[in-house]
Amino acid sequence: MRAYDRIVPDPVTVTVLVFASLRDRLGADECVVRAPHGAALNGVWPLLPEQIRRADAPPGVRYAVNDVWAPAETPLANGDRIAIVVPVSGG
Amino acid sequence: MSVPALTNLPVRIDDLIAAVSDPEHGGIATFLGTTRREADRRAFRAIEYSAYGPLAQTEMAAIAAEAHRQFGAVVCIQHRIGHVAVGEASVGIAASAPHRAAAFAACRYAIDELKVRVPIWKRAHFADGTTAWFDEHRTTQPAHDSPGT
Repeated sequence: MRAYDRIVPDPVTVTVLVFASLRDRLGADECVVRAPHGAALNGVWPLLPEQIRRADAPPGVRYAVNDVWAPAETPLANGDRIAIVVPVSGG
Repeated sequence: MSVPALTNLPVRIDDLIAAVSDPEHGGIATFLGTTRREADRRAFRAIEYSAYGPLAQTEMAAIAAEAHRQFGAVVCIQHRIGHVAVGEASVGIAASAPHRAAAFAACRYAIDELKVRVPIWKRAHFADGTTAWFDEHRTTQPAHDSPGT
């Protein structure tokens, strides 16, 4: 291994679940994203497929990791199943 | 009896009542949220609900547990998924407690929390054949009326 190979850690691969209008925009329930090492949940939006990120992330978005709520600053880990939860409208 | 938190079948309030009945409790409050015919001056055919299932169920259980801690109530919550025709119930809640004040408070707490926390979304199917999701950020003054509860 060359010395400088150690400087940039491997990117992580995560599965991103989307719902409601984001699901319509994507045309699927989920997508796979490669993110730079150290990226957090709130850094995922610019990495999403173009048909989603053509608009800004809606205000009030929350995140979950592996089906548990998680703060937006949570770092991504390889293999995570993350969810982008847009403002809810049940009831 | 066990009542699933999410269902694509009609909400049966009798099942919710049975789930919270307790001979030590003197009151059961119930709430049914039904889909309205019109909102924002637009007519609907139906409302379609979808959920982030695992987290929606976790959150609904958490709300019931909070209501138990705060009011001493036993709470059962059920929400419809899929198409709900105008006039049908999209959500049902039953809350039992030793006294009526706690039962009413717990029931109110459960629906109020559900509407802001539980990852469920509605899509309006308008009478003219178009559709629209209600998943935009809302300020204290909603930008548009919602056809649901």
